[in-house]
Amino acid sequence: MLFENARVWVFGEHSNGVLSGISHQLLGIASKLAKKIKSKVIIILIESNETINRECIGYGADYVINVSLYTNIESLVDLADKMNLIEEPDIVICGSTEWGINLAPRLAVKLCAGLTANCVDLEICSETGRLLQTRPTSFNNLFATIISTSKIQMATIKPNIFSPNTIDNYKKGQVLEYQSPKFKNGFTLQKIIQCIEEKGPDNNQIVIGVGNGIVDYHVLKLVESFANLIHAPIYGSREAVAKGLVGFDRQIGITGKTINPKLYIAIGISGSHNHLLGISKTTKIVAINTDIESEMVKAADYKIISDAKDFLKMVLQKMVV
Amino acid sequence: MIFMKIIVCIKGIADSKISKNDSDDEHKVGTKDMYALKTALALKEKHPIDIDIICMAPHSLCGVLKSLYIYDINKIYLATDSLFAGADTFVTSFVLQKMIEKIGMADIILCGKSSDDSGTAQIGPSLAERLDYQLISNISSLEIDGHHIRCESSLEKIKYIIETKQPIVGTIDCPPIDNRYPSLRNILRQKKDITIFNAKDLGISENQTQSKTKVLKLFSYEKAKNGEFITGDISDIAIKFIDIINLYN
Repeated sequence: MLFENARVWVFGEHSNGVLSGISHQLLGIASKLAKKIKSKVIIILIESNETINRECIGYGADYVINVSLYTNIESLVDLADKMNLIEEPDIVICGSTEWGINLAPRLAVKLCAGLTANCVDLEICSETGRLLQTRPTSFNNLFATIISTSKIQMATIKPNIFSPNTIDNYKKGQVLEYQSPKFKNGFTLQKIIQCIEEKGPDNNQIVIGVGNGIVDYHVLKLVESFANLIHAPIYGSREAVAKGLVGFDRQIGITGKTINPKLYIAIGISGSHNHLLGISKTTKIVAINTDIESEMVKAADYKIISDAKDFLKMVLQKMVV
Repeated sequence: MIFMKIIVCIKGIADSKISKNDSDDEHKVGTKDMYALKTALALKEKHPIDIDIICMAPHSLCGVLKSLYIYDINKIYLATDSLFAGADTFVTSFVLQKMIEKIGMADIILCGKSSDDSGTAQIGPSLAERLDYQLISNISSLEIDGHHIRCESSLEKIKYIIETKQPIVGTIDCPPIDNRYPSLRNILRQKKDITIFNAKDLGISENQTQSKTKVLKLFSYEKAKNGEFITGDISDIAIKFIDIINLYN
């Protein structure tokens, strides 16, 4: 297995035979960074296929490493260790997905690398050639630009924050096969007891978000009726989750889901820093709120200052007619 | 009698809601770490296990940690040192590793999936890598059967039942099914002391406390978005709103 001058690595994901959006986005940012440091890009995938491999190359990979046989996270960490002996990387990026966030810190420990999670911006410093990793802080509207003090620089990126390249079907690249040796793993995955094949919010044109302004169950019912009429899923802010209005997997934010619908209807959401960062810059936002000074209203393209209950009742009346 | 040892890792979070004295020292246990603790305590109600708590924090967290003795906890340990100030997750997980090695390896290490403040979710996996333990994330239920561990864990949209043997690092993301506060039979235990370690006690050199990441700058920027107010009476606004939806649907 051989690669050369490939010092930017990404760990890609695919499911149901299709390359995930996060993989496109990883390759997009990786290729931009690689160009700046005059390097090639490697994407590492588990059990991919020819179509996926070609797609990776088209989206920016110079090398695709297809890992097979034993493919748990420990195997990938061991692989990274071996790859590091061939050529030390400068930059390693993973998606901040459920799988990626289990992998990235383990890689960081193995490679003794500084890791910054949930980066909203990544660029190469023109003076030092080092990776500038920008992430939000827990303070409102405050961002931190971070550098790794280690040689290897690691970052994770949430879905829908970075853009992919346009696919280049003529791009050349190389696929390397790697059969991972068995790595100690005591798991027995006994049974899949629940499989919710839920269409992610990326596939929806319109997404509804609810917040603290949904004061009771009756208002939530109105939101649900409205949501059913326009076939939009209901997500929410951190407060909405804490209140039990939506489930834990429905939190929108930089530490929750990062979404990219065409339109986001925010009902009774104040618009915390964390929440707003979960909405793509290209999404148009409608804010329905009684507070004209709220961050959500300020950030919205369409601002409706109204009580959620009264407004929804009126909307439902008009729609049913 | 089968004895299992559980170590729960705690992070102290600044609790702005209770800082009525303008003190920097108002902290509470991180929300998800509390879930992890409850998970351990629920297990203890059914099995003979020892629960230790470990925490790396400034000395001011002593009070909060000591109060956790009202639960059925064996021992509480705090690692504190000026060298640990500003530690990133690389160093934090290293310190926790050294603590665990010092107090005795556990069968199960539990921690909240992510903290209320930085929310990086890096400690659990880092610890698993350092200790060479299996990592099981998003545990929603945990059971012991002899030397076997049986738990429910979610990844993406799929829930798995996992049967494995110790040792494991488990991370908890959601409140446990049994989310009530455990019984406080041990009010008197509050008199127990917490054990404090510094860097030297843990055999950690200054070199080893250098973070792998460094903040270069902090900045804020105003998201410039003008947008338009939809005006009129509520009926007009509703109609305009419906028009907007039709544009995107």
